[in-house]
Amino acid sequence: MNLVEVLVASAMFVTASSCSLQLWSSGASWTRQAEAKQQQVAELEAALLASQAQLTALAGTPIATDCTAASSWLAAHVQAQPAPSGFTRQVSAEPGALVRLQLSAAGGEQRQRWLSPAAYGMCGAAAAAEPESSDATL
Amino acid sequence: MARFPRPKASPPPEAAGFLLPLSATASLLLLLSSVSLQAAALQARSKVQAGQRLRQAEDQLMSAAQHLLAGTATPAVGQTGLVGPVAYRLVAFDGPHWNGAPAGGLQRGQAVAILELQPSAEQPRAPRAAFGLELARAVTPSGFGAQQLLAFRELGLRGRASQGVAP
Repeated sequence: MNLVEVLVASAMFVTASSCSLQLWSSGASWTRQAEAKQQQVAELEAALLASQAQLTALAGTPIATDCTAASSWLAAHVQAQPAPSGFTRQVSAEPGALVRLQLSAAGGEQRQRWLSPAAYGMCGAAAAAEPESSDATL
Repeated sequence: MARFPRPKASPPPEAAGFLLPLSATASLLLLLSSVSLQAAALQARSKVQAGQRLRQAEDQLMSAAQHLLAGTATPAVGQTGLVGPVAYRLVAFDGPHWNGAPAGGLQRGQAVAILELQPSAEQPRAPRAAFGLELARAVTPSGFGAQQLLAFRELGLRGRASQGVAP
């Protein structure tokens, strides 16, 4: 056992442990980030489904004979409802009698769906039929 | 040691090199443990991303179904469409199966549609999903009226192998 050996061994150990500490901390922060993201994604999903449920709660209720008018009415109707907290919501009437529903979180995650009032029996010539019970929330 | 006895005054030559291997082993262990932790973190991250892609596919399929059914309640198999950035194709359409007894001049029926997204660079394996449709048509003495879509719901993503349309 001489001084050189002690020096080399301790230098090796110190380097390895600092390296490992760095790797360990970055791994831990990645795990934390992934967890936070997962939670945010789950909240976003819940918010999206809630917004969609607001839209489809009127399933079977005739709104207008013209589907384009129905979609713009529906977009305005959902826009008037309070937005889910923590997310920004964009509802717009799109060409083709569709309603575009977009939710984005602060972290950059976003979900968007195009919904059609015609698919829920809210418009069209035969929209005067009797209302459907709401098993169409999905 | 017993065979080659040495004087007690100087340390044995074998003992001289124990510090270096010890430190090397300890360093290796430390590095290995942290690298495995890192790998686990990476895996968690890619899992989150995969889940996000799957949700996006679900959104796109839902949008596609809405777009398809906005046009007509009985689409033709093979029909394609484009909604936003989403290109889709109707793979199968089963139904409508009408229920026997018309109630109040209205007959109810069900149908199942399977939609497939066009494969993209992001998703080379095109996801497909099934949707259940609730239909109704007026029953008059002269015959049946035009059928109308009452509601529809998602039946979930489908695998490539499942060619059948049963929910």
